[in-house]
Amino acid sequence: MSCQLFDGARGANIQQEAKAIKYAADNGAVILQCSWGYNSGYANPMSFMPAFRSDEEWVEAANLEKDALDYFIHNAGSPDGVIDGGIVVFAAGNETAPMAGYPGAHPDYISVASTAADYTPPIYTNYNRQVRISAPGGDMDYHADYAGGILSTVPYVNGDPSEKRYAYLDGTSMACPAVSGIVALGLSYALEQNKHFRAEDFKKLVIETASEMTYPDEKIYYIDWIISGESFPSEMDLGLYRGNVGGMANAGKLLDAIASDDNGKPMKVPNIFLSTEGSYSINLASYYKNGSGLSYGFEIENTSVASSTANGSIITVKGLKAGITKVKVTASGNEEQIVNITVRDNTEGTWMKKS
Amino acid sequence: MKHIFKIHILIALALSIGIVSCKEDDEPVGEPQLEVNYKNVSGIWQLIEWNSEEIPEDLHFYLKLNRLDNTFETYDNLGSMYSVKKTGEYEIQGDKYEGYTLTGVYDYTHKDWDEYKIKSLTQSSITLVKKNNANDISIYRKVESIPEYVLE
Repeated sequence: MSCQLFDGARGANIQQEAKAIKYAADNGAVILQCSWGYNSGYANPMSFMPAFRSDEEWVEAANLEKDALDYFIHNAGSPDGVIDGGIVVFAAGNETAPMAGYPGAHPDYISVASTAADYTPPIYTNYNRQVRISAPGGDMDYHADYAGGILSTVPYVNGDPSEKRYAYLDGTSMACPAVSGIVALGLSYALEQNKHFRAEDFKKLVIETASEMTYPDEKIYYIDWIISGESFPSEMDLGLYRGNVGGMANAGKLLDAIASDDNGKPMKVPNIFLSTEGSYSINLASYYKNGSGLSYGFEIENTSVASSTANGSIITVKGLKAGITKVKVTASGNEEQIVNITVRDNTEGTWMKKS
Repeated sequence: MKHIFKIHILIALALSIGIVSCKEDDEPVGEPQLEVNYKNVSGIWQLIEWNSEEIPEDLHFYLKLNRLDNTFETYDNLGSMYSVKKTGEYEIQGDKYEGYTLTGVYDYTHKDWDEYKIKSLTQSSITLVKKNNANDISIYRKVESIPEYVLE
């Protein structure tokens, strides 16, 4: 889903941003793709307005923003689904600064630096502190070609649908969605593999499976190539970036890691916790490989505690009185699973919480 | 004089029988009640019994109450495939005359706990009763640590 924060050329307002992030978490999003952020705290003040240099500075100034992102990380996804929690991906920023911009610089998020087509860093990308991973974000100043950028979708400038809606752009804003896309591909694959991950573990896997990058000591680029062409060649010291921009996001290695028995846990039918008079629907097909083609049984041991109705693989459980009962779940061609239904008066979601 | 002495013994026995029978069934015999304060409620508590029903082996709920900063951690699989961790802050309300209540608020969701009366607190167990439902009684046993399979 796309949640609009910015209106035309204006910046976003934090209240709207918080609303959008919460909306995303509450409506099924598990990846927050953010090609935006504050300038790096180490940006050159002659060209940019530097922002925050530490987590504390950012949290103090943008408390609501941090709360909203925390909400996403801890409430997106589901403990009964492919991922428990949400993954937040930010652009590292384009100020040539030796630190990512916030919010992405916070360790809870993935901050993405940019690379040219040959994996060398472009002059604009932020690097060093808090940058966790790199992905192709284009470098027209280096390739001296529009196609050195990333072919991107762009909004209508004048609201005219006949306008072109594609353009070559470069920046960490282009690198960031490449990583979000890899995360999405990984989660789809995990679903296919019938595996469950905690968001924190999955985030770690994305970073750890990135490939080490090697490149020469320097490269030549052309300052403001779009405006000046090749008039102002300049040398860039790549040694500053070596080991300071994370690895190159690697979809293939991530998928291999997801398939490995060392990572994630097999999906299984979850226990169910609901209130008396409450109801809960569960799609059993989500918990078995090729689950949509199977036939299911759902046998509640103590039917005075809970009852169930079935519609294909979708079971709706209703709480009848406080208590715990076992359930035998069968699926054709699979081992039976025993799960528990706990019904508690006036309780919602978790054991201690009031409804 | 002998009869009076016997009557005294009988009265004493009757009283002690009365006192013993008033003792809660759910308190381990011989364990003294502890004063309710942050020091004594802190530790790791495992839910072992709810409404006189034992918690099945394949279900778990652990409540870890940290003394220094009044934070809590819970680990449970009551409504999930695997154990889920939640965190927040807890508070003891009330006094020794009106009774003590344990309550809290979860991090990140800003949702409150229900209020739980502390019916009994000993070195090895705590009994909590939902304030708005006297029939909802949970007994927790103090444990040294949370099992690895829960933390994984």
